[in-house]
Amino acid sequence: MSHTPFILGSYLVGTVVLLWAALAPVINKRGLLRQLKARQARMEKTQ
Amino acid sequence: MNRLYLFFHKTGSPPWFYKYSGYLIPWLWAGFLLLTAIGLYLGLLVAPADYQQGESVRIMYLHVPAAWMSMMIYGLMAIWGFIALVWRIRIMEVLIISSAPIGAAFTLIALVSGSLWGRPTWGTYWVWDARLTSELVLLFLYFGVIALYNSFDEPRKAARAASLLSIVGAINLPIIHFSVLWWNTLHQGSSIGTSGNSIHPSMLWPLLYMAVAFKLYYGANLLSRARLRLLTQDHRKRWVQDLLTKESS
Repeated sequence: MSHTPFILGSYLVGTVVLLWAALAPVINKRGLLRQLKARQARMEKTQ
Repeated sequence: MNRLYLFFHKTGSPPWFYKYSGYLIPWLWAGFLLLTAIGLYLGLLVAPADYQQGESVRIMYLHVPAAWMSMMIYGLMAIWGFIALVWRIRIMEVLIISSAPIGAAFTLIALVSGSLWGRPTWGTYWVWDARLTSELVLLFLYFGVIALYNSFDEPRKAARAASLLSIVGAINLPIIHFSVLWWNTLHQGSSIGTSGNSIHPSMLWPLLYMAVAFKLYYGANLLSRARLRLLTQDHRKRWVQDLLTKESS
């Protein structure tokens, strides 16, 4: 039995999971900052 | 004592934490990438195949550090949970809930890579073995902490419930660790311990590089998540408004 697919599969899963876990806060932070800046701009306009 | 109190008070302050953790994150990512590159090079290209496991031993350089991380992170969550409940330090609450998804990610990697190692070595992807089952319980505990936190509207109440579950769930950690001694399991015992190890240095070094790399990954990811959570919770506070004004100008 070739072990290569099992080794590659493990590292592929590891890479995908770690990448997802690392990128999720970066993407969410960008969205949040955009939202907060837009709100701040709206508030400044109304004042 | 006063200086220690002052230190905790200062580092526990959200603006201070947000500012200084921002300086640390790029260094942690750089360290993680460097050590991962070295660990993968040694583990996948330099280290020999095992006399029993063959080439599948290379999965161990991912599986073992991930399994260590899954337990370490939960242990930290339990300690921070205790501190959060006793001293009500908000940053500890933030660290608990920011750690849970990272811990779940490492537990998932440990389970999947272990399963993929088990097929060529044991002849099966899964057995209801004490070590495997208790590790699966750990994954459910992580999911439980996340779900419990998200079921509350008020973050401080949510954090207290999550802290409590973190502390109670820590009972699973000695069960995972000693499961190979307490029960007759298919999973082998520890090869590395305080009394020495039974691994050849050519296999030990990549394992250690990957173990340190994963700790740096955890540090970087935890700080990123904690900063995001602080921004979300404090978005109406003065320090966040000042930060936004500074970034806009």
